Amino acid sequence: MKLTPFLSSEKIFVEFNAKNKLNFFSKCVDIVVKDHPDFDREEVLELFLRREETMSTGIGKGVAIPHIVYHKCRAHEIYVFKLKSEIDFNSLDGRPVRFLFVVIGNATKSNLIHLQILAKLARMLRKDQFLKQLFEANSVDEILEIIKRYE
Amino acid sequence: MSKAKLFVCIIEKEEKLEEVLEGLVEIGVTGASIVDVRGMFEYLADEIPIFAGFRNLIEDKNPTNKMIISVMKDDKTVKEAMNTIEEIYGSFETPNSGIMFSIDLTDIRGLKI
Repeated sequence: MKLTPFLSSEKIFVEFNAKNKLNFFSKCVDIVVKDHPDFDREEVLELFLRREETMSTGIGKGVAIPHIVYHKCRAHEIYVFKLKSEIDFNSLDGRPVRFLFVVIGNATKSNLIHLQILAKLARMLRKDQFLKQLFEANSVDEILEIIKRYE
Repeated sequence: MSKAKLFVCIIEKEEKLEEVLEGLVEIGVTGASIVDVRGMFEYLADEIPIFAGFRNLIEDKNPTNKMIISVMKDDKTVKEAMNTIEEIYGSFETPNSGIMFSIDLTDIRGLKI
């Protein structure tokens, strides 16, 4: 399983401005809906917020993986955001978040691809070198290159 | 006969369990049971007084191990699972690191594979 088929440079954002968690999701969903005019903005936002209510997707070390399945989504996509400034995300380790991998998938019976993407991300993010390089990266191309190197 | 296999893996280093499961999901294995188990030697050392002295001989102080049990669709999946686990966990050739094996299954109910 590789992540790059679900990624593209147009879906990677650096120096992204977000005041807080809600503001991040609001701006993130704006981008997603702009790419997919058939998506219902409020529905998508609600799905992200409801998922966060269950348990924060801030998995620690300054990273969050917000993820939803949405019935209008046709194929899985990953958006990557490196924030200009850290935001509080109620992360598992209490640390603020700077890097976000946002996964939007189509609902299937087994949700296998969704699970595989999350597992792949979780494994990659265990590698300290990967994280270090991601946090040091300042451009879209650099981030894409680092992901390709570790996927 | 069914091509399905019963895959069993017991790992000593419990701290590796999460990553091992992530690795299995990554190759498409999303169904398994995870069981806390105790090795015979550990049981002897902890539960039967005459063997208590053996506790000091056990390098790993953790009293339990983790067992992963999964029905896999074929031998190819089992091999892929074993390779993935060793890649994450380390070689099973190291003494007391763990064991894994698979056996043929004939009749299966309650599972679509």
